[in-house]
Amino acid sequence: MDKKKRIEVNSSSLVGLKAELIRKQEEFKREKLDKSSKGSRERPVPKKTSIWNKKNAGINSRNQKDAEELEKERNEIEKSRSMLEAKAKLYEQMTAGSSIPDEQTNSLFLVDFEKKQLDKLRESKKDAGGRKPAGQAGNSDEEEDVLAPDSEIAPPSNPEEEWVDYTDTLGRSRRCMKKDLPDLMKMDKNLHPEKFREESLKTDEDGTTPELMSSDMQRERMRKKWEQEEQELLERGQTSIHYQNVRFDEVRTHGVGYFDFAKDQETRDQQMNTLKFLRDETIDKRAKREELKAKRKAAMEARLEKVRQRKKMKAGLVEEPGLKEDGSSEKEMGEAEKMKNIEEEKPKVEEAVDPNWQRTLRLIEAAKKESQKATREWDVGKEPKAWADQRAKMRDERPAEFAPPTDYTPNSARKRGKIFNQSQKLSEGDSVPGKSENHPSWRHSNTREQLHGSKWEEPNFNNQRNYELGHDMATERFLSRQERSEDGRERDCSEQDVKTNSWSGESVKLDQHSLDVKDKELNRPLLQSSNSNVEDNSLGNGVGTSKLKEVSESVTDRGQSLPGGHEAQSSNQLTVDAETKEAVSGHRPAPLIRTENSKPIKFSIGIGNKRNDKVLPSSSNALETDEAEEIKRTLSFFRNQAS
Amino acid sequence: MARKVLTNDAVEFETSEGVEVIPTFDSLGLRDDLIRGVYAYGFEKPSAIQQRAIKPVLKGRDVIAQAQSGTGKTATFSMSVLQCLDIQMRETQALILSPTRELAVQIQKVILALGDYMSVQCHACIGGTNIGEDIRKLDYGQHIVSGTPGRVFDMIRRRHLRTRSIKMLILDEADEMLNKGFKEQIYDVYRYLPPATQVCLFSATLPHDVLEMTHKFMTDPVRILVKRDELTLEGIKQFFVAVEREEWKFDTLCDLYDTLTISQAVIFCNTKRKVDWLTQKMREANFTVSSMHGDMRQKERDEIMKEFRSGTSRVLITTDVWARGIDVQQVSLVINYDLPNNRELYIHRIGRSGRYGRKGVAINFVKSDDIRILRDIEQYYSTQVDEMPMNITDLI
Repeated sequence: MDKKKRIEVNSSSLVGLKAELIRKQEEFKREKLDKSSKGSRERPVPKKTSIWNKKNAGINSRNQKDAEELEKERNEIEKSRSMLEAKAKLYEQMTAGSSIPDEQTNSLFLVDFEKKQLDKLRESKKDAGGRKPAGQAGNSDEEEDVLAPDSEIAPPSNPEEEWVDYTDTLGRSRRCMKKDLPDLMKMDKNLHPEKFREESLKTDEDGTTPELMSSDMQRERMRKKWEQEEQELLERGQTSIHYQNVRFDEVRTHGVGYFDFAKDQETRDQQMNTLKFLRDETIDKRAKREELKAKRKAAMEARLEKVRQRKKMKAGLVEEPGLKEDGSSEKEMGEAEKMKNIEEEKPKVEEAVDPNWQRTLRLIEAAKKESQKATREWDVGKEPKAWADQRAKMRDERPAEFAPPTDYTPNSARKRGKIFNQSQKLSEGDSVPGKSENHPSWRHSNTREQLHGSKWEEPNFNNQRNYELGHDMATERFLSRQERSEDGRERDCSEQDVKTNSWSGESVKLDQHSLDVKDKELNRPLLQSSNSNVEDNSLGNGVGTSKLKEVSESVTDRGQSLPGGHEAQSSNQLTVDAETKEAVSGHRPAPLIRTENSKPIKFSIGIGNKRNDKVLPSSSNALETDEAEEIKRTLSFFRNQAS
Repeated sequence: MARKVLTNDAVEFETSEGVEVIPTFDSLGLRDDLIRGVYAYGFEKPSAIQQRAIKPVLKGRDVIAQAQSGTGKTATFSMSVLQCLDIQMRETQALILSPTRELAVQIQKVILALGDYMSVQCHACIGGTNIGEDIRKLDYGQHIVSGTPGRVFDMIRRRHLRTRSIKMLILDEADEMLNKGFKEQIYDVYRYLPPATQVCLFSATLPHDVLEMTHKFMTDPVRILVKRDELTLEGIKQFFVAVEREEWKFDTLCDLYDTLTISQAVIFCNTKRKVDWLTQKMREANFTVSSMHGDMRQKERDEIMKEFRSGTSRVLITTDVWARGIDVQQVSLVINYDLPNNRELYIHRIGRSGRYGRKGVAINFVKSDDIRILRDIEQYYSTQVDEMPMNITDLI
């Protein structure tokens, strides 16, 4: 549209338009001038008044009120002023008067004019006596107070007499005349020369000052610094020069591993040694960790191998589980402890690569201490070997019939017979409890081992999860246990354990409720009994059970009658009893219960008077009844002992 | 051999065949204390030249190594020398010669930095310093001497610098060292060295005539060369500002001053007099600049170098004394107030910026009759020099 119109416009009309525009503009200008000269503002003024001068209703009365109040206020101020003036007049009269007011008049006022007069007199005497140094005046705090009302002091006649504030080395803020400042500073310097030096150094090397400095000054400062460094280099002379000596504040991004060694040779050597120490330590630990990793891998493989074998076993292939990995797992445990230590120390070592030297040293100290602490506090003074030997010896001496029951392993019937024959010979006239009493060291080390055991395994056997864990958990426990038995007994023990593990392979569930009940009922008395008895809880649960049997056998041998006639119990119940007991006393997850069918087992155990009948589903592979009874009797024996 | 006979009897030099490329410092088999220093200095991965040149030097071969400016040549031979050192023997085992005192000092610094964990002794044997001090240091025993030919020769002649244990001679900025001015002095020094000393040449530019004469003092050298069209770095942007008259250069420089001080800048003039003149003029116009050239006392030169390296001064007006090898990481702008007298110098001058992979800008002030020279340089190195854009600040 616009385009079309534009096209229609011809040049002449355009010129015409332009002319018209100029004419109009001229006209407007003229008009404007006229207006300003004539003062033709009359028109806009009424408009403005209508907008701006319109008053709100009641504003006048309000204004009046304000004025009145103001007047009142002013009157009041005037009044108080006149009162104060009168007071001041009186005060001046009182002080100016050379006569000391008598006591009666004095008591009328809050001000002690008497003392004031006396002071004044004394002062005037002093002034007359010695000259009054103006500069020193600001030096003492007392006089400073006198000087405090600034208005009294006449303005300085020359700039040298101006008051200046400064802080002395003792941290006090002082005021003195400008001309006296150098003297006072000197005095201060004499008082604390070393502090003064420190301070000057601080301001010299402070990183903040350069920003306020001109570039020339900064340059000069740097030059001085470098000159000093050069001088130092020259003084070093023939000793070695290092990178830090020739850097001269060069701006350069170094690698993260850059360590700014000290320029001083001695410190540098020290730093170098520390770095070396840290480095060696790191290398050492790295190697150890690698070793540990390899071992773990091996152990894991062994474990897997075991699992595979077990599976084969279940499939019908009766094979003896391999025991080769005993050694490795044993080492593994040791390594694991070491690993723990490493992990504790590692962050410290890493932190130690800090440029802050003091801190580095401190950290090294800490690291050293840490490494000394490698043995646990509770392990101090222990002779682990002694117990192992003792145990081995005792096991050698032990009649075979007190050995763990071989009938736990289905494939060791032949072995059992052999052992039994042996044991018959040995066991005649020899009872285990008696034996234990003859070996106080046994019990001692037994408890120690318990402690040990309870330390490295989680004590929360209440947790049902522990029961529900499958193979892995069980194997873990098995391995660690194996590690602890270091002698010929390993074989039996492991056989037992394998069996336990195979049980746990089934999905076994313990009723949480019944477990709780069991805990409550069993926990304390049994714990006591086990502690005071010969039972070796730290051995595997199979061993524990077997021990139980040993004890029970011995009890029968001695002909002790067992109180509390229990009803015949199912063998499953007994197993559970024995094992739970072991678990309780050992503070470790209870071993799992064998079940042929994967139904959850319900059980409960009565203690003392509260003897309950246990409800257990009958199991197909029940133990023989006499054996069950023996165990039962043992249990009650323990209870008696406990009470 | 890496020689290729061309049609018109000219010999073209090429990189030797079978030059191994070693991708990491660890696989170079450097000693532990050295590698610690290398990593501490900020090197993480060897640069192209380091990947190629270190191994042959360690093998004891004579080496001619060329690489773009600021890609780690100094570190290459420093590492090699440090690796070959017998620290127990407190005698000069390697001699490094460079054309300027500042460069010699810089090399000493790099060696000390890389050998920070090795307790290496390295002395900068340069002119303009106290001879007594030099003698004292040399008599104490220095594993490595980095110096300028004049003073080094002096020390050798006075038998303070014992040469019998010298295993390596390194010529940094080899083309300059073998130029007319230095060749005689190099020869003098070389005559004092044990026969068949390992010789290594390093430079960003190795003209043909230099390569040709190397057979006089090198045996079957391993050559690691860069073609001239690959010699300019992509990281260094090159521009020119066309000025009609010489006087306008100054105004242009003043206009650019704000850009100069963004980080650090070097302004090259062709003569010492011009440096002095320009410095004075800039100062008169209230601009803060520092200047340096060969006629200054060594002490002053040192001070200025320290100031510039520490960032205390940001703009340096200088001559070609600063053109080669000087490494200041923060320099991001080079101004050729005058165009250099030869093509090689152009490469070296613009190479003061854009160190070790950093970005850099070079601005050439050209009068109309200079344009031809610049175009020649542009063509010779197959590079591109554009007219300076308005947003030059963004490129720094």
